[in-house]
Amino acid sequence: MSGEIRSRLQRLRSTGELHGSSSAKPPQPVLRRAFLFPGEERIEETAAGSCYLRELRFPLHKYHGNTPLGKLLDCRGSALALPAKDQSLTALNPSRSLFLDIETTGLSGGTGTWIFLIGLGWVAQDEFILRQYFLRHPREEKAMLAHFTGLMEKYTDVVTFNGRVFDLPLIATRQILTGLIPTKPERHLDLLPCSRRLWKERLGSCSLRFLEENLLGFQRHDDIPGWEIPSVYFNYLRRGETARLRSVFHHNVLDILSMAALLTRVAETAAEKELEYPADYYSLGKLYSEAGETESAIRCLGRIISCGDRKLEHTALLQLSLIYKRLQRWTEAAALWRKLLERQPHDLTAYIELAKYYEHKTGEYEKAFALTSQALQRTRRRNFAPAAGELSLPALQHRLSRLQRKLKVSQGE
Amino acid sequence: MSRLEKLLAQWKENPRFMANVTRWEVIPAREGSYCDFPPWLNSRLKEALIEHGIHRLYSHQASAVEAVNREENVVVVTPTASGKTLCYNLPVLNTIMAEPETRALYLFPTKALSQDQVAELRELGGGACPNLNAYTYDGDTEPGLRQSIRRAGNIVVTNPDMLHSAILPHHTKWIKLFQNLKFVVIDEMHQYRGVFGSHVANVIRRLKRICRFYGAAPQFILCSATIANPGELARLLIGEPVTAIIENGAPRAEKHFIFYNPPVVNRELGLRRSSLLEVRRMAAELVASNIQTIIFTRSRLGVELLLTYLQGGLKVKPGEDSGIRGYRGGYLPGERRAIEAGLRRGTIKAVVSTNALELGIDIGQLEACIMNGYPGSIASTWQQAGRAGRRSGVSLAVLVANSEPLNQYMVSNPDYFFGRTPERALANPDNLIILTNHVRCAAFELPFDEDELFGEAPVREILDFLEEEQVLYKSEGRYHWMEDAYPAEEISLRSATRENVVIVDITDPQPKVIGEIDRFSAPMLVHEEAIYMHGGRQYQVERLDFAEKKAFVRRVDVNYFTDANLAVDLKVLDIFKEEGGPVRRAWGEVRINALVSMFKKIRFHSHENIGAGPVNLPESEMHTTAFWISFPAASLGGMTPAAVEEGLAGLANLVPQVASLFLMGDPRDLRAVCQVKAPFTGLPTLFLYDNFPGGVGYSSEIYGIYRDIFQAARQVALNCRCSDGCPSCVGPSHQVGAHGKTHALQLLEVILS
Repeated sequence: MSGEIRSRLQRLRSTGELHGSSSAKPPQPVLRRAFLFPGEERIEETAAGSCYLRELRFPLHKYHGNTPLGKLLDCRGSALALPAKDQSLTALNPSRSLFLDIETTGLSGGTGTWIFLIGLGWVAQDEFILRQYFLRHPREEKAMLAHFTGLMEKYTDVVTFNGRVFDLPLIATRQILTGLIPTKPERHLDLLPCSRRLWKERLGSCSLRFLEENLLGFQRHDDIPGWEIPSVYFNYLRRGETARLRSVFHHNVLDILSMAALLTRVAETAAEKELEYPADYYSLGKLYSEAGETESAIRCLGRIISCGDRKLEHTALLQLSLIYKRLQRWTEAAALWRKLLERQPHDLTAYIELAKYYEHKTGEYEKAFALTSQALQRTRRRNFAPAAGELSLPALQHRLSRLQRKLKVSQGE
Repeated sequence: MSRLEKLLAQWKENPRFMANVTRWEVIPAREGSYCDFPPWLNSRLKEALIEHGIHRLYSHQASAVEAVNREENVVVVTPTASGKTLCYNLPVLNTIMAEPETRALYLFPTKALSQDQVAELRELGGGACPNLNAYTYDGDTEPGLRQSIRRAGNIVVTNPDMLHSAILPHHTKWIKLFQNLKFVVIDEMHQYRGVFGSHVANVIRRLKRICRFYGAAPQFILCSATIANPGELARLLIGEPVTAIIENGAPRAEKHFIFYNPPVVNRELGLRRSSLLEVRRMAAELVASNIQTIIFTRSRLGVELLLTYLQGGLKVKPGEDSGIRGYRGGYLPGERRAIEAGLRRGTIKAVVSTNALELGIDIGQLEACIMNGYPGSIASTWQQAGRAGRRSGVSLAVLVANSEPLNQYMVSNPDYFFGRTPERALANPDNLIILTNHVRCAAFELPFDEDELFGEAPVREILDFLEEEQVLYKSEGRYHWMEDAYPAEEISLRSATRENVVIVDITDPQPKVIGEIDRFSAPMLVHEEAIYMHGGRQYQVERLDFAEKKAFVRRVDVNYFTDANLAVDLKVLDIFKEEGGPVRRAWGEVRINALVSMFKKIRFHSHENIGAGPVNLPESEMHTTAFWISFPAASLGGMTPAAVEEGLAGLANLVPQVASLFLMGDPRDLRAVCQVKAPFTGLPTLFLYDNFPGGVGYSSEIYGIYRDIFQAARQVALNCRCSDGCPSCVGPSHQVGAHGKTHALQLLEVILS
C-alpha cells in the first residue's frame, strides 16, 4: 500500500495536477561543509548546542564610500529623533547601538521563512565590529538565535533598514518557533522611513542600493542580486555548494557598513550640517512643522524661498504661509500669499487662502470676491482634471455665491 | 381570516390553478418547547437577554449550551430563524466574562455574515461585557486595526479563506489568540462539502496542529442547516467526536407547501410554460394582497427580470416606492443592510433574491416564499421555504418547477421530497491532491515529524514526495519547509487544483477579472467564441490564452448559447471495490483524457442548432474517481449493439442529473461517459466520474446507493411525456437515436431486476 500513494503522487505530478518545486537541480548527498572564512570564523557553544559565526573588524578611520565609520561617534540622538518622528530616540547613542540586517530564504515573512544569516555591527573601542551568525544546518537554529539574543539583549538601541516591517518581526517569529521568548529592543531606529522623509522628493528611490550610490558615494561590483539569495542557501544546504554563499556574506557586510554610513548622513542632514541641496531644507522644514517646532520650520523654509528652483520655492512659500496661518500671524501669511500670486502659480491655493483672509479677517469682501472669481476663471480655462475639496469647481462657485451675498448685504441692499 | 388564508382559499377554488398543482401539503403548527436559563449563566448576561426580549431558551438552545458546558463539541442542526447564534454566543460570552483572556475564533463562509455577527455580538455582549473586543478580520479590515485585533481581540470573526492564507501562515503574529483559544465556532457547516468542504477540513487540521503547538485545545461549536448526516460531516471537518443536536424547539405556524408544475405547451418537444412567468403571476397576486413575500430564483438575470416584471405590474406613482427589492451578492453592504432592515420592519413588501438570502442573515420572517426552480437539494429547499413562517398565523411556500429533469422529477414525485430526509453532505479531505497541497501549507507553518499524523492520515509518503521535489528539507526525522514560496497563496479553497483559468472582461477600457474556471473545464466552457454566462449576463470569449491561463471575454446579448463537444477517453487505473452479478458494478481510480474539438451554437427555447465551429485546444488529462456499471452479454436479452449504444447514450444524459438528487452537489460535478466496448471490461459500460481531480467522494457513495439512483432515473424517463426523448430526460432524440428513450428504459430494467 505504501508504494501506491507514492506512485499516485508521481502520476499526478506528471499530468501537472500536482506541483513540486520550481528549482531544477537534483539534490546531491551533502558533503562536509568546507570552511568558508578561515581566520574569521568560530564555533560558539550554547545550552542549545553549537552555532557558527564570523567576525570582521574595521578600524574607525576606514571610509565606506565618502564617510569614515568613526563619524558615528559624533552623531547625536537628538538629530535622529526628528526624521524618525520618535522622541524616545533622543537618548539613542549610535556608538552604543547595534546595527542589524538579516538574510532569509524568502520575503513573505511567514512562518516558513528562515533566517540563515544574521548580520550585526557595533562600535567597540577603536573598531567597528561586524559579526555574522550563519545557520549551517536547521538543527542549529535555536543555538544561533539563543547566542544572538544574548548579544542583542546587551543593547538598548537597535538600528535597521526596514526592520520594523521585515527584520524584527521575522526574528520574533523564529524565536517563537524555536521556543525562545521574542525580544523587543527598547529603542529602534529604522533608517528607511527616515531616508524617505529626508530624500524621497529629491532622489525618487530610497532603496539602500540607490542611497549607497547617490548619497554615500559607494559603488558595488558584482553584487549578488537579492532574488538569488534564497536559492544560494538552498544549494548550499542540499548540495553543499559554497561559492556563491561567500557573495551573500559579502553582500550582508556591505549592507551593514552602508547602514552605519547612512545613519551618519541622516544625523548630519537633520542637524543641518553641510546641506548642499535646497530640497533637503524643504524636507527638514516639513518635518519641523509636523513636529510642532515652528521656529525651526520657518527658519529652514525661509532659507529656500529664493533658492532658484521655482517649484521648490513655490512649495516652500506655500508651506510657510500655512505655518504662519496656523500661528495666526496673519500679516506675514498674507504677504506670502500675495507673493505667491505674483508668480502666477498653477496651484490656486494662494488665491483661496488670501480670499479667506480678506473675507474673515479684514472684511474686504470685494478683494475676496475678485480673487475667487480669478480662481474660478483659471479653473474653467484649464483643461486638466478638476481639483478636489476647496479648490473644486462647485466649492469655488459656492464661495463666490456666498461672497456675492455678503457684498450685497454690506452694500446695504 | 388573514389575507393569505383568503388568497389560498381562492387558489384552491381555481380549477386552472389546481390542475397544475401536484401537491398541496399542510404542515401543522407547532408549539415552542422552552427551558429556563441554565443556573451557571452569568447574571449580567441573563439581564442582557431579558433586555432583548428573551426570557427563556428554546429546548435546542438549552441542550446546545449544556453540551458545550460539559466541554463537548457540538453541532446544532436548525432551520433558519430558530436562534442558533445564541447556541454559541452564550457559552462564549459566558466564558469571556469569567476569564477575560479567553479567545474565540468564529468562521463564516462570507464576509456579509461575519459583519452581521459582530454587530449582533456587540449588541448582546456590549451591555453585559463592556470590555468585549469582537472584530471581523478579513480583506476589508483596516491595516491600522489589524495589529490590535491580533493582540487583544477576544472574538475574531473571519472566513476559511482568510484563515488559510493570512492567519495560519503567520501564526506567530497571533500568538495571543492561539495560546488562549478556547472556542472555534463554525457556522453554515453544510456549506463545507464537496471540494470546498474537503479544503476546509484540511484548514482545520492545520489550525488544530498550530493550537497544539501553543498548548491550546479549543472546543468546536458548529451550526448547520438540515442535512442527513450532520454528525458525520462535523466529525469529518473537525476530526473529533461531536454531539449532534437535532431537535428544534422554536414554535412554528401552520405551513402550506404547494408543488406547482407549469402546464405543457409543446408535447413533442416536452416544453412547458416558463416557470418565470408562473412565478411572476403568483408573486403579483401576493404582493397585491400585501402579503410579505420572498422569491428565490437561481440566477441574477432571473432576479433582474422578475424585479422588472413585478415593479412594472404595480402602478406606482413617480416618487413613490414600490416596496419591492432585489437582493444578491453583488450589492453593496449598505444596500443589503437597508433591504434587510426594511424586511424586518415591514416597509419592504417583496424581495427577489438568488440563494444569497438562503444563508442565515436575519431578515425577520416573511409570510410567503416562492421558489423559481428546484434549489438543487432538499436541504436548500427547506431552507428557502423556511424563510416564510411566522410564529403564528399561516405561511406559504410554493415550489414552481422548470423543465430540467431534476425539477420534473421532484415535482412529479412529491412523496419523495416530503418523505425523505435531506441529502448527505459529502466531502473527501483525503483527496490526494487537496491533502498534499495542505500538507505543503502545514509544513510552511510548522515542521513535520516523521510519524506525525495529519488529521487521521499518515502523510509520510507525501512528505517524502515533497522532499524529493525540493520543497522540504529533512533532517533528524523532521521535515522543514525550505523553498522561496508562499504555498497558501497558490491554493484557492474553492477549486481542486492550483491552476485556474482567469476570466477577464475586456468590454470596458479597464479590464477586470469576473471569474475563474478550473483548467479541466476551461476547454469546454471558455473556448474561443464560446458564450459564457456569468451573473446572468452573456459574454463571448474573444481569446483564450491557455498557456497563460487567461480567457478574455466581451459582453454580448445574443439569442443563443454554445455547447462544446467533449470527446472523453477514460482509462481505469485501479479498482477499489467491485461486485459481480447480472450487471457488474465497481468504483475506482480513473484517468480522463478530454478533448474538445468543436462546438455548436444553439438557439434559446427552440434549441435549434444554428451554427458550429472548431476548437483548437490541447487534450487535458485528469485523475479522479469513477463509478461504473457494465452489462454482460447474458443480461442484455438480445438487444442489438446499436440499441445498447443508444440506451447508454440516453443514460449518460439522464443519470448524472438524477444522481445529484442524492449527492447534494451541482449536476455538473458528475459526468458520464459510455463505452460500448470498454477496454477495461470488454463490455458495454456506463461510467460516472467525479468532475474534480482526485475525486470528492461521489463515486464511492454512488456505488453504495446505485439502486436508488437508477430507480429515480427510471421514474423520470417513464413519467416524461415526450415521445422519443427530450432534454428533460434522456436527451433529444437527434442525440440519442430515434428510440433512445426506449432503449435506456430497457437497460434500466436490466439494472434493477
